[in-house]
Amino acid sequence: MNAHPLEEPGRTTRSMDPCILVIFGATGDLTGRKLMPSIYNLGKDGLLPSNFAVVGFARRPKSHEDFRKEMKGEVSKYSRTLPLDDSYWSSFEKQIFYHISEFDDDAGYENLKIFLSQLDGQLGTKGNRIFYLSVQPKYFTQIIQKLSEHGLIYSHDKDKWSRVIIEKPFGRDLPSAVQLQENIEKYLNEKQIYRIDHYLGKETVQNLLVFRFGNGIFESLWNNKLIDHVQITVAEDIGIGTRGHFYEEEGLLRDVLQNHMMQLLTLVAMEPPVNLSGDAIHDEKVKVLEAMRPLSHEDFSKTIIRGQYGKGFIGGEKVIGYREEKDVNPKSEVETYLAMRLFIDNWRWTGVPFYLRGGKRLPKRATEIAVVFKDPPGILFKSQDKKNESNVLAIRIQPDEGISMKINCKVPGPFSPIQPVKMDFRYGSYFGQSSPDAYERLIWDCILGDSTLFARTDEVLHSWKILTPLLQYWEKNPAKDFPNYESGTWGPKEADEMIAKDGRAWRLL
Amino acid sequence: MSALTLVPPAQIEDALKKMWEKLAKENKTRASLFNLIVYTHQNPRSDFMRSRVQKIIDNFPCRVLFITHDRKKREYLKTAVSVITPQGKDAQFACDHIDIGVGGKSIKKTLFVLLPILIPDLPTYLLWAENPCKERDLLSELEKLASHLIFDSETSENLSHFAKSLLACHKEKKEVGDLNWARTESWREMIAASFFSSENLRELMATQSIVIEYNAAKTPFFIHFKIQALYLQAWLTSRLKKKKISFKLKPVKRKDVMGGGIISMEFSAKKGFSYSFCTSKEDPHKIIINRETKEKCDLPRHFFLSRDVLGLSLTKEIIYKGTSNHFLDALKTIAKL
Repeated sequence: MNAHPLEEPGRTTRSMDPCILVIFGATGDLTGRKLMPSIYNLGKDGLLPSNFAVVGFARRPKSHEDFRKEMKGEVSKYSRTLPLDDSYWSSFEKQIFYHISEFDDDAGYENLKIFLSQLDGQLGTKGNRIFYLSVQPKYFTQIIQKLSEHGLIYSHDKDKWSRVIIEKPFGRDLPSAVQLQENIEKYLNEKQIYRIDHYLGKETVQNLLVFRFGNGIFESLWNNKLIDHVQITVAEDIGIGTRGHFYEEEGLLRDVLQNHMMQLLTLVAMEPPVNLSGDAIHDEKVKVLEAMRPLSHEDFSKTIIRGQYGKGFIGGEKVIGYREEKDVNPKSEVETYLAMRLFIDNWRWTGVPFYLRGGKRLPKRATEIAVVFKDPPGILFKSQDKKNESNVLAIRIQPDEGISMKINCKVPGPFSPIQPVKMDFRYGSYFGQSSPDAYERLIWDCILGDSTLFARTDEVLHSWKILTPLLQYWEKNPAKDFPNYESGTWGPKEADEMIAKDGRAWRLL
Repeated sequence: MSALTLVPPAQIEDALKKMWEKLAKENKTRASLFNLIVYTHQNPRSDFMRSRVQKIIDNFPCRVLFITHDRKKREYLKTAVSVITPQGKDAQFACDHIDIGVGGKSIKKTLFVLLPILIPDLPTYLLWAENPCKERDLLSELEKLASHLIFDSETSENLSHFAKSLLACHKEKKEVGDLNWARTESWREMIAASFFSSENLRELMATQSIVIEYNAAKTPFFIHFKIQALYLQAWLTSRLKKKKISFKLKPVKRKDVMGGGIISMEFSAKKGFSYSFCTSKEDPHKIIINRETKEKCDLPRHFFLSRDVLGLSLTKEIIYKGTSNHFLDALKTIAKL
């Protein structure tokens, strides 16, 4: 394909098809907190197509003007760039519209079709559509079916395109994910489906590929000969807040581990892709999941630890336990903590354990990948038979995004004791500009038709394939000791014991 | 920027170290992604260049080595240090700023002052804010240190000579850029985006006349107002490879737009369509886009030239690897004028 004469590869960023973004569930939290601020910032940074509109689709009666006012309030609160730029907003809001309909109402979809065609005529959006399903998973199939039946989704049209962004979780386990995939692929091909996992839109996650494959020194160390183990932590100090219903249905495994943590793991463990295309990267990620050792019954009871927070203290303030949260069953057996050990049985990683832990109401908010290196032969620099600290490469995903390396160093003076020191790179300190929000990047990619940072079907299904036996085991063997960790601690003691049996310890973040 | 502290050249690093020891209490990180050497004459425009440096710092931290040459005065060499922070936000980082003031023939000492204070292992960019066709002595020395040379065509009386000079520089494997080219980035991106679809591109290819209005209102810093408009003309000519487009460059006066800034562009053809891109009278960063054909008139659309506001165009021009092919093609077109 010939390049556009006015585009310069690697430099021009603006050239994208005109389109309309329709948000289903436009009155929900995500739209106000994340989606609209992201679209606003994209526009403000000149990263939206020049012919563009956003249409909120929801059940509550509301005028375009009401919706614009509401969104202005939300953007003023949640935008990463504040205060709101009134001059920009006054133009931007003219591209915001609202459409009232139930998700199952045929007339609503027919009216939407007419409305979008009118907007095409007014704004030159050329029939291109993105449908963002910010709704409960149970509506995914129904909405996609209705969109298709009313001619709003078109797969094979050369002159225009339609894409659908689907929020996580994609299914509840392997059978339901397969079922959902079968349902939606009746109407959409894989190239039209964008399964969003906002972790993949984070700058530090994207930097993982640059860090690993754009530097000569790390890739040669990245194997079982030099790496002792890898720890991936996704810790939250907050509880479940107002998401009681959601959490009772999903739990931490479905909310965080099956998607965010497995994505991080595949990015750390994958082989170099043949190129940077979406498919080449997805292929390598899938290979990691295929090589993952299936979980056994022994793992279920010995190397996988689940937990649920009880009352405790966060930031010096007393907080309630999970079972006392709103919309939560007082006898709930849903997990809010999970620690597990996984192995990847391939040439590069055989014998290297990957320890994953995630939890709510832990002492702090921290997402980190730590690569812990093997120790050098313990002949030199021993002190009373105590070994020196291992080298650790820590990639901080959030907050305080950056990379640090722990190395051992001689303390100045005649006695030569060894002291670990940290070389630290912080994004915030080096790149002063505030990083775009993950949703900004992902919406932008979807407009461009680039699915690299979205999860492909086989990735999602493989991930479920690994974890579904565990869910089935838990269903038959409910936890007996919940709550088993105090809010504000690093989780149940069994998790510490699990890793200690391997002669290792969780990193203190 | 903190107050400048005069120090002898040999004590620059020590003086900075002391300054940072004090700043450590404020939890500021001393950061630098590259060395930025700036060369300018001592004149009113040197203050303007300082404001450009501030824009760069606002986006990316770097060690600034700012050389001011007073060609009228007798020999002198003064060096001073300070710390420069991004404006308008509570930044976690700050940067070293080293000021080198030279008079008369002391300019020859400049290189010897610079060499020991460049941070090793980081790229070095040179912002040469004087006419490269006229002054070669120091430039030829600094070129060897820099991985990317940014010039300012505003300092050149003849854009064609300037273009030839930059092309010659690039031929010697130097990466080059120009501040005025960087200033046109938002306009180029907007035009590229507006004619992105195949239908719009067909219309662009059928364009017969392009009118570019540029700001000719007098400012202390700009006198060659036509340069950005000429760059856009050369860019479109070289990209479209079409001989039969008539260009008209019209000076207009707007006080709220930077000297030489583009005010509007209009594309039209006898077939009966026209596109116009006009700077809003209320907000110079807002562009109102209109498209008309014989049959219909689209609703106006808006585009925001946010990159100019953020100074990102300039920093992008500096940190991009290599020289823009579009820029080189535009230079070749201008060199033929």
